[in-house]
Amino acid sequence: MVSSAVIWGWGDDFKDAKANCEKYISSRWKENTKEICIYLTCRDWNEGIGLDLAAYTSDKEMVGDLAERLLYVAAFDGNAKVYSIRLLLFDSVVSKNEVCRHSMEEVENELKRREGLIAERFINDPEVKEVAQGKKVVFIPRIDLLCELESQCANKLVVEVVHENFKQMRELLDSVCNALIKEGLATRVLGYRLGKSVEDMKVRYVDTWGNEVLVRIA
Amino acid sequence: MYYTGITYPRSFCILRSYCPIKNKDRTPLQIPKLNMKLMKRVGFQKFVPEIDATDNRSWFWKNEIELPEIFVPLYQLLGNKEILAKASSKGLHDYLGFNGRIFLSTVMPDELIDKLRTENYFQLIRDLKPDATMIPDNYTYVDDPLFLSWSQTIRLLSFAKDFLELNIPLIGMVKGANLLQMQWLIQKEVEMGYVSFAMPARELIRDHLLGDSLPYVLRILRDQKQVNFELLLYGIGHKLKYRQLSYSNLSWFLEAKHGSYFKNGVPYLLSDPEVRFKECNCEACRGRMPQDIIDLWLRDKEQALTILALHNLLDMKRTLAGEK
Amino acid sequence: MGGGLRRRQYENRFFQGKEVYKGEEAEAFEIVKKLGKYEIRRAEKGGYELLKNGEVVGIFSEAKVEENRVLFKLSYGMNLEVSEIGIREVLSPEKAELCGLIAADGSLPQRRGKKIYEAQLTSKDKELAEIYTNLSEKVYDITPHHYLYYKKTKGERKRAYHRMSIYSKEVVEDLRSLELKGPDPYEFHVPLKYLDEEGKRAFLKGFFSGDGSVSLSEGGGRAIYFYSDCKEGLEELRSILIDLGFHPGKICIDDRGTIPKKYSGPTYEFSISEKEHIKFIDEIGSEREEHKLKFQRIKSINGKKGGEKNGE
Repeated sequence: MVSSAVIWGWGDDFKDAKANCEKYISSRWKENTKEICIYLTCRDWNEGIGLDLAAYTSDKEMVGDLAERLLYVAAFDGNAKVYSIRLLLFDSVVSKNEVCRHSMEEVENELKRREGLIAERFINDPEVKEVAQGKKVVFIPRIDLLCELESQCANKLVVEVVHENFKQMRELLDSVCNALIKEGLATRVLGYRLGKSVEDMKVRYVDTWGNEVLVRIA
Repeated sequence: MYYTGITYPRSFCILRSYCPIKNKDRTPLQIPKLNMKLMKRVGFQKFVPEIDATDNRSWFWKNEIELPEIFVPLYQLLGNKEILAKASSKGLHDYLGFNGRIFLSTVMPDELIDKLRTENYFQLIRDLKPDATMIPDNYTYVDDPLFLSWSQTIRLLSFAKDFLELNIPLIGMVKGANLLQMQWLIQKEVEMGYVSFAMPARELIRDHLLGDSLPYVLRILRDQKQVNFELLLYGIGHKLKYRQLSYSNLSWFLEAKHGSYFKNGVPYLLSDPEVRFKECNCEACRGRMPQDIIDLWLRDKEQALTILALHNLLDMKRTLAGEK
Repeated sequence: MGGGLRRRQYENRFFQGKEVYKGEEAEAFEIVKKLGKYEIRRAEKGGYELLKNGEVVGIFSEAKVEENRVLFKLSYGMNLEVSEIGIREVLSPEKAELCGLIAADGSLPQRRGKKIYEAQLTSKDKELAEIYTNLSEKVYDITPHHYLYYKKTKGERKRAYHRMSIYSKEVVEDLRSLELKGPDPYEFHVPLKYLDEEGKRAFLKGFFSGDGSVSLSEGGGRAIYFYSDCKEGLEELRSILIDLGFHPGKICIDDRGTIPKKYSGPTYEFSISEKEHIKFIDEIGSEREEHKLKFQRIKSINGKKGGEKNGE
């Protein structure tokens, strides 16, 4: 990576997103810059679902326009608060490494398979064992779902949603993807994948409520 | 027949010590002749940064920025026993690790002003070993009864006389609740040989009083034709229209702590569109723009603060010295 | 130091009220409260005097007398709290809530060249925009300007964001003096030294209304979270919840940024334990309608669960 900057944050005027991008790019885009990633960190207002949007482009003239359009898609169609817009400049084309080509059915099967693995892996976790005696243990994993979209105005678009409720996540993801296609930012969805493997997960919270132990995993 | 009218000095009168009336019971106080000492100008730079003696993030020379002189506020040392002990045992130069000239500022809160006597100041100066010192501060409020501010003015003059015994360069004070007090004080200090002066101006500018007093002070100083004076405004962060002034303040550091970025001596927020994406090639920034400092603040606060403070210092120096 | 107006020194440093010129006959007073070296008395003709060691140090038109303290109304939504421990300025609940809203979804931008000083809130909720307006009017006697961001779409209902802006240098400087936002423009801090218990609750309510979430799933699971991309600010929020008797979960990094790996800035979160959901709803709450609806559902689920438990 060559450089990175948070050029817009919540509280800045919406119309500053494009202007800030262009001002930053005008001095930081160098000859060896091959690709830029416009990265939006957001959260859905209703359920707190984490939503990230990334657009990759090698055309510096498109950056401001892309950033503004993504902001409006996230805020209005994604119904999300946009915490920040970050620009990342790379001296190589990194988007080719961001590949999501599974179908939704494959993702759902994988999630079902993980349920058993998670229970097996964490039932003996010391934090869980401490409070689980004689109680029902419920594991609530955080799901990290990515979606790759094809685009004509960018090299690639990737959308990521993170939450515990898969149904709500899917609804949000579908809404955002449809909006991206409708706005002309993307042409079609190429595929999905899950972000984190079970091996990388850890216990986040252990909460007891009556006869139940709720174990949040991420 | 003796005079016993309304102005006759009564036993209960608190101004008796200043009363010129002579009678069989008392001889008026003899106003002693002021001592005199030949003094050279301290030779202030246009901008003399003040540092925070208790916060080494303001010790800019640690980051290889070189400026020839600094002000160190005495009251900060007095407020921290541990630091005072260290600084007193080593002297300020060794304690701070600074090789340039150190000027001691005596501007301090009223409660401290009342506590310190000449011998206390002398002991501190002996231990701290500054290169020059202000004479002790006083408090003169424009909304106090005049008797109080005159008492304080006379007290300041008394210190100015005592300080002539010291063997280091001295900086006279310009203070007063009205123009007459300032004029009287300046004239008495000039009689004693003072040529370098500091005028604490932070509160005056805040209360919109500096506009009237500063031109008058400059005129009084210029009228002392035998004196080649220098005047430093203490506690102001921006340049005024008058020539022949030097400045000293800590705002370069204080504003940095609040995330303000100086451009031509004016503080801006880092996110202000007027500065945010403009690169700066000063020694501190080296091509960074305020946007880069925003990002750095998220990753490494201390380094961001250091760069911002140093940038502000260099900008202030450039602006107040009239450099481009 | 030691120049300008003595009166301003006293006001700024010692919170003492305006000078009293005792030209008239002494009024009759009733002693309202004694708190250590402080005494509060009410004048027959109205108004209150604050005495320290027998000397009048302040005169105020309004006071709220409580068991262990007295609150005098100052300007700009501040109160002077006098207790046996001493005196300090505290935010009124309205101002604390306003600060919470700004800390979550607002900002204090400045365009120095154009002399624009702004205290603004951007929210999708019309209710929050109205709350911000009401609080601004109560605290500063200023009605914010109201702007709308629209998304241009064809044939669909327009969705809008509300931007509520107070344009006032005095207001912005007042809020800045609380160190609510900054030094980094995307940072926030809790003005801890100005918050009493009531203020802490109000601040949390304001913040949660902006950056909190209430999540309910079909199986009855529920979660209450605080979010931010400012970890320090979130730690301060967590500490005031602990002061109020809560046991919030530890702060976790919201593990996103799979794209592109490790280059994104994290967001942070902590949760409220399920055991304390009802306590949170009753003592803190939220101004957002959708939060309130979910709180009602949580209460009814709790009621049923309690019933089941009792029936066992």
